[in-house]
Amino acid sequence: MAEEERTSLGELKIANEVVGIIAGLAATEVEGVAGMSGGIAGGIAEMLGRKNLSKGVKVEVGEHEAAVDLFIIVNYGISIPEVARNIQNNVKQAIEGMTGLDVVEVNIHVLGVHFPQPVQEEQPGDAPPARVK
Amino acid sequence: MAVLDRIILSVVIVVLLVMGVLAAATTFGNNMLLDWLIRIQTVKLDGFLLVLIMLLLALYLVLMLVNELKTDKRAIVSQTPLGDVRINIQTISGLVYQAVRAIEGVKDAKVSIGDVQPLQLNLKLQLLPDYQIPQLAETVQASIRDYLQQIVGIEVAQVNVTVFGVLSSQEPKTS
Repeated sequence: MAEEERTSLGELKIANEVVGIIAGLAATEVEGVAGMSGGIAGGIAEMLGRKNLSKGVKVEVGEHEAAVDLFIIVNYGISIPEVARNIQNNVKQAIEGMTGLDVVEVNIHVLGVHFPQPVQEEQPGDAPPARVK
Repeated sequence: MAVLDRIILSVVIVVLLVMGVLAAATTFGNNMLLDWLIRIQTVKLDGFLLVLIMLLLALYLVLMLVNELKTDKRAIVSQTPLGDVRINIQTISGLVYQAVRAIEGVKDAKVSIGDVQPLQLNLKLQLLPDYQIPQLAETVQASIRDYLQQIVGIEVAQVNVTVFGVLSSQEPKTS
């Protein structure tokens, strides 16, 4: 499916994939988002060496409207509703700005939390003293 | 997807491809597969090895599938003007686990989720000694409630706490 539009000089088509990539990039640049989650199919595609920019994104594009589903992993310690709101706004703005489609829905699916690696006890630069001098 | 899953899946794909190619070659009159099949009648080790590998691969795939089916698909849904926000159960229990572990006096925790709406949490705690348990339990309940309110923005209806153990002091007594 692609969005089609008649301009005075011809028709304009925007592929679903494009909307997906715009949404994926807009979502990942939001602070607090650790990454997108592609599921098993996405995992296989990635394994075969295909870098997928629209990973974890599902879009439905109609004639003038678009709905987006985003599957995300959030960082530990942030407020999820706040991040969700930021993503929704950012994605909506990005798609509407770049394609002119009306974004009616941005559904967020939080699939997991990314915990930072356990902090090392020793501070950097606090290396164990040399045993021999 | 876990790294091991990917490796196993790629092995399965390679095995299937090789078998497909061999089967195709056999159809076109190539005897490579047949020769080899006859060979493993005499060299039994090859045959057993192949069977073992295939069984293990099949077993792993089945386990993967079972794991996938067993995963709790429930989620906490909140509606916003711009669409739904769904936070799945694993996220919630992961967050709760980290939050509980950060509370002083708690050694270990198991988190399970009963009802979703309203949210009902069951915590099994292993505590450190020398803490007053009812007080500690209350602290846990209150901080989880506040934490989820702040981070996830949901009300918790119930936090059930079960204490299943108190860790004995590690240091030897010197009395």
